[in-house]
Amino acid sequence: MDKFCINENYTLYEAIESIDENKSRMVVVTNDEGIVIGVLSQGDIIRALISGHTIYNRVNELLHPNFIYMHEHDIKKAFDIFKKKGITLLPIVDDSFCLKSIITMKDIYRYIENE
Amino acid sequence: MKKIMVLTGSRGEWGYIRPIMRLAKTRDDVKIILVVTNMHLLSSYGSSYKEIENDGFTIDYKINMSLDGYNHITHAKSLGICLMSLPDIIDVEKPDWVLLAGDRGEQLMGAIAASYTYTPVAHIQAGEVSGNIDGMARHAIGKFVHMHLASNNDAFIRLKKLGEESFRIFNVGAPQIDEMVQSKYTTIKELEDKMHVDLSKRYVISVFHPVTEQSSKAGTQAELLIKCLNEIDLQKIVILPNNDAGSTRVKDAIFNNRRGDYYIYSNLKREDYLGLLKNATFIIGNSSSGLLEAPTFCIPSVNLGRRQEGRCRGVNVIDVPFDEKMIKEAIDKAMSKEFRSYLDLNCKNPYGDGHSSERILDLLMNTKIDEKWIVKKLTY
Repeated sequence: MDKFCINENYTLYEAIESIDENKSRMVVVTNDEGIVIGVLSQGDIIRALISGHTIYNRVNELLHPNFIYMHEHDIKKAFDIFKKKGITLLPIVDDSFCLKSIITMKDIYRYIENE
Repeated sequence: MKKIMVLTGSRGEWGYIRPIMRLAKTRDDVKIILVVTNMHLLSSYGSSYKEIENDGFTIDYKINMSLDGYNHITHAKSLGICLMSLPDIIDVEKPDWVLLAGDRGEQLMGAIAASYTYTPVAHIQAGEVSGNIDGMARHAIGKFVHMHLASNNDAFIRLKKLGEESFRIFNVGAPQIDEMVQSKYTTIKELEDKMHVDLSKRYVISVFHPVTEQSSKAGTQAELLIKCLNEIDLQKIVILPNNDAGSTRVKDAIFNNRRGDYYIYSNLKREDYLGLLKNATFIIGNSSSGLLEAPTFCIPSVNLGRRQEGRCRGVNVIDVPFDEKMIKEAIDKAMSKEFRSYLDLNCKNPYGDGHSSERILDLLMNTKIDEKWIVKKLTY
């Protein structure tokens, strides 16, 4: 799960590295308490760089706090959300927004195959 | 053709002036002279004069007035620079009216420049109570202007009590309500697609800003708010504060204490926000939106702490201090069917019906200026 997740104090550079490694086009961002506070996509990073930010800016200046999440791991529901929203990662969080797991495109493909 | 000279120095009063400018644009018997100054021209405050241009308005004059340093001394001295520039513009343009708004220092300079040149001058958002030096400036402006455009009855009465002649005072409502009433709201269906929140279920909107003088307490105040929200069985839509002192503490408190279904936004488009507000179960926090906008939709507003102290409010507002038990009681009241049906019958927006700009422009266009208007008498 580590490669899908970065701390809010990481730089854009580190976020890009993480996205490069996870091949999911986005990362989940947590704070020091391990609480999910947003997500950051490849597109967000490109937009940030175009508008004058540098790769050394911190991700907490740029992330979207209005991310899509689920409290329960429900792959069928997740499939609907992926389809409708075009997202590539879906964090599953507990009641206090600590990260429990992440649903990726891979999980979705597996679900489609089995259906 | 009448000429109205308008002065704006910050985003705050531009929100009052813009609806009047929009309306003036549709008429061919009035010409606006737009003078832009102070914060609008500073890159460190976002060069907001560009927003004015993007709204489709032409800036006629820019007065760069701000001395570097941003302390009390440079603030006072900068106002002098503003005052030095204004009479020359008035001399060249010879406006029929100077229109001021709000409570900032540059508006006071506008009042001095206009009254000393015997140019008729009117003041939007007159007679209200606001904090610190701005509150003093507002009432100083009141002494210099010839026409008071109060936004509510409370301010109207205060101006009379302050010795202003009755024929000069008009309760026209708040022009910033106009844009809200006229603007299109995003429909719930569109919002659901955009936001991924099930808006067919009930939800509360929370907007909490740190109060400058209490910025160190902002974190614990926000924690208390979130704790109370956690206990109610509604979805929570939270809008994060701007980057004022204490805002990081508020954000941390929200992120670290929320439980359950929270949807957090750093900012929302105005039409999206209004669409949400219109359908909310109630709004909580300390945003002026609870006083100014929520009553138009008869939405209960739980108002925390002192940020909105002294401001006129409708029956939809439930004021509470930062006390857990009292906040919970207020939330219960806001969520109760009885309170909601009471509001449906009795709630009116004290800041007007969305037609203020028309009233203001009509007054300026139709008032015949004579000695009675120009020579002020204090009634007390």
